[in-house]
Amino acid sequence: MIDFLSRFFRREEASKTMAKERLRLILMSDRVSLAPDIFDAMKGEMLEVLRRYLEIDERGMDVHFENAERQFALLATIPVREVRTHDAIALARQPAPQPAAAHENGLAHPDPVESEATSEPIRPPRRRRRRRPRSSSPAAPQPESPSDQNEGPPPPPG
Amino acid sequence: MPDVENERRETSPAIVEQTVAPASSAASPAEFTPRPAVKTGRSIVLTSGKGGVGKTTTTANLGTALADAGHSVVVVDADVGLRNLDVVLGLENRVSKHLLDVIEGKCTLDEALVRDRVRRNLQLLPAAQNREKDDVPEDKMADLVRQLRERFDFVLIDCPAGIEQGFRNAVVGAQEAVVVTTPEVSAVRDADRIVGLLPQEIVIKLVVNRVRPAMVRKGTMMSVADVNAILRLDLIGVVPDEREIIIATNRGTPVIDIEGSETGAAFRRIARRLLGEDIPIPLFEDKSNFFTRFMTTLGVGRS
Amino acid sequence: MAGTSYVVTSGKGGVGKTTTTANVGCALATLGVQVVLVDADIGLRNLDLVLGLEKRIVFDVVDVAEGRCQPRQALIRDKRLDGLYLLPASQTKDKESIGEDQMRDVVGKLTKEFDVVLIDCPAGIEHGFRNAIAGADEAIIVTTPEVSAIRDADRILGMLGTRRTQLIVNRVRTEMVKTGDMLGVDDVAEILGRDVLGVVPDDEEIIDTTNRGEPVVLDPSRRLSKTYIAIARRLLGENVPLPSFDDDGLFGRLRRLMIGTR
Repeated sequence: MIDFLSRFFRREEASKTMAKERLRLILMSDRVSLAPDIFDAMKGEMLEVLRRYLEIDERGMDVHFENAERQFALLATIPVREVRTHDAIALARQPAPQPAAAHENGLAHPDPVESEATSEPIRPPRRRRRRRPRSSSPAAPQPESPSDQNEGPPPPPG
Repeated sequence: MPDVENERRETSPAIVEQTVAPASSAASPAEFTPRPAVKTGRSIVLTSGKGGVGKTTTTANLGTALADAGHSVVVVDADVGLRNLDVVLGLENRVSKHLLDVIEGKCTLDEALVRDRVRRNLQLLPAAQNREKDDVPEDKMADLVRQLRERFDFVLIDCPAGIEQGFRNAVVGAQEAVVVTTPEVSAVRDADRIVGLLPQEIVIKLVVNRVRPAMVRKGTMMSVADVNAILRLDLIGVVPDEREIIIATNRGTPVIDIEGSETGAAFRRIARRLLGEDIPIPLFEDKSNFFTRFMTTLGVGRS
Repeated sequence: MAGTSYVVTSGKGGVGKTTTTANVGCALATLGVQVVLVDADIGLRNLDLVLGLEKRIVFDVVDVAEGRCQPRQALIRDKRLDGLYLLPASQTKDKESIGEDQMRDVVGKLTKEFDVVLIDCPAGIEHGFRNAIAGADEAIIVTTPEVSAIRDADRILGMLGTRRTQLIVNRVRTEMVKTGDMLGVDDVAEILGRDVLGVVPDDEEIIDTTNRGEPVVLDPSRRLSKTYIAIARRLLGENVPLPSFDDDGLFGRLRRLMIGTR
């Protein structure tokens, strides 16, 4: 019923605005389903990060995209067996020792989990800057770099 | 199976009467042959050859109109990899499983079927978006259509453009075909080709879509008669071109729900003709009123 | 120097690939370019019809691929325009009768003789599509400002690899864009993340000229003639500004104030 009512009110919206919004969600869903390898790689990288802090029950884990009304979300249920000790976490978060002279700036470190799947991008980067997506996962770790503008993965902290 | 029972309860009154009537009208017990309780719905493929003539829009709107007439309908998106029936019906958010999952046994039919938001007796069987048309074996497709016919009064199959495996899969299992064309040379040529490729037993009907009466009058567009002089098919509908179609697709609602839409009205009439009603096919007048038409005839006003 | 081959594709059928191929091809020829148009829609050919050359077909692309004739024998020279040639599709074979390597081969031969090769792609993403893109250096994606077309175009983009791809937004209805009933060119470009090569307004002229087999470009008095010439110029690298379909300008804002968002 609420569904029907919301559709009734939506009729007042210019139909092109509805079209644009629907397309946004449709394309997210399509792009994810059409590149399963890439998103498997993404999930793998996520787990690498989480493992630094947590001991996870990987068999009970579920990570998937969900397409609900007006929102496209990444839902993760990750059973936690243990939270690592302070020492273990500190150790895991330290950058791997480099043979060459150490860099002060953490950004200079190459991302340790650079995936091979990026050799041929799905498409070239957009010319225009993307508007911040409405539904960002609240659990996303805040990037530690001072600049909030980078679009790449957060640099390894430390 | 409980789910199948629920589906049967939603059967339209028309079907129920069929199964009851013979018993009461039998002359003597010896003549009475009990009808099987299993329904056999009609399977209709909507095809064209040429892309973009309105197969998907026709499938969605016909399905909706038939549901409004009280029948249980399933619309099947056979366009693996380029699905759009879900979008036209505004159900894209509810799609999780699809036709290929059912065929491959990864889920039940009920898990894949998406119920329409407004019409409970209209359901969608979505296509897979990330697979190829070659992935669907023809015999499995035929089995699926047979299964669907046991549950629904109408199985409408939205065929992809072209004449490749996608087309072949959509056609297998269909007893009837509605060929959709527009009054343009390429579309008519492709429709003709498609008719040649359909199996002999299939019952073929024609819908001429996107007719612009003003252009036909001016002689810059073929008339329906011109089109059917070439195709020579049983005509069941003529649908005018309207901006409302674009607005409807933007919103994800069927155009038959838009007040005053001639296109919508045309689809409703087609549904009624499919149900056996003998409704004459109207000659479309332009939307402009008599005065404007009068002026134009005199050579005054917009050309 | 070898020419460049472009596949004109879309995913969604009926958005205007064939009319675009025909008209951009004619436009290029009027600008002095040596162009060959290749119909890759085997079994459902239409490029010949749109060009009005259907009565002159003897050999087709499958004959060339299978070595039954030289490419030159299959090419139909357009008598109305210097430098415009057509390599027709076969109508009776099906798309499996030619493979990607063969297409690449044929197109490769053609790029040696012509400045531009335009390949008219069939709808869909099956064999026909894969064959059509096999020989192409770059891609031109034709879409209309409608949800299904844009969705399919996005899908296609994912299959074109690292080729340069540009957009042609076809059948734009300026009035509907202004009233908010149709997505605008900017919307489409933003959603698909691609440069716009051209914008073609919705115009009855296309239906009329297709029926006659007389591409719009052949008649400079036709409204769309200028549109396609502009597209051809851009394709050749000229900086021709896109037409403005301004729905954000003062007029658009005033209009919206008066009639509300609907």
